[in-house]
Amino acid sequence: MAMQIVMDHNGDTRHYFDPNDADALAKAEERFKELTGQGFTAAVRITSGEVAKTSLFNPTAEETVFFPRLIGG
Amino acid sequence: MTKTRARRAVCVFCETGFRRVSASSLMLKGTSMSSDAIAEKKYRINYGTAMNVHEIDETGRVKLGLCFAPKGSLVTGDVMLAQKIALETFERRALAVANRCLIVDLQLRSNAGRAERANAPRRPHDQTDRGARDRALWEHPYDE
Repeated sequence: MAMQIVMDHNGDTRHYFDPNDADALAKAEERFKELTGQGFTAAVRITSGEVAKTSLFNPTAEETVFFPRLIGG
Repeated sequence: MTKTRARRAVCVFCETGFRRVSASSLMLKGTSMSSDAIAEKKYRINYGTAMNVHEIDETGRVKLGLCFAPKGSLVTGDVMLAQKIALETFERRALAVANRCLIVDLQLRSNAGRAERANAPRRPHDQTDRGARDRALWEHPYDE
């Protein structure tokens, strides 16, 4: 099961989806576009535990984390 | 959809290549995995949500404080994770939005530093030279 983790004020919200299910995949892609359109940054964990920022939906990614845009504090 | 409140950010950082330098801070070194990275920079992310990112110089002291965070109120672990991902993947843009502040290195004020200063040999106080200079000034005040 692939997972999309969206950070919010409650902690985070996790959306699980089956990458082999076309409907679930379409929903996940729609969620990805909606969140990145709102300004969220998407990052995926690649091999060897490293993280890479992504701007396109990757259906093979196991974990995608979304966090709000950065601002100066 | 699952809501998760428990934060494991520190453990996640340790798994993904961060070096844990104390119970609540993390060191990021050599962020060279993206083209956006600036080579040979070290950062320490302390536990917190504001002014908790420090740039470290070659000697291991705090060079600069950086203040940037995700918009909105997030849990501390999430803020730290976002800061870590930002420095790893789009460092220049993160630094562009960050506010900078000078940080006094707390190591200098710590008990360890105080003990070192107490044990350091004191500079000898040269009374003879000072006395001679005072006497010369008293006797010939207008001589140069």
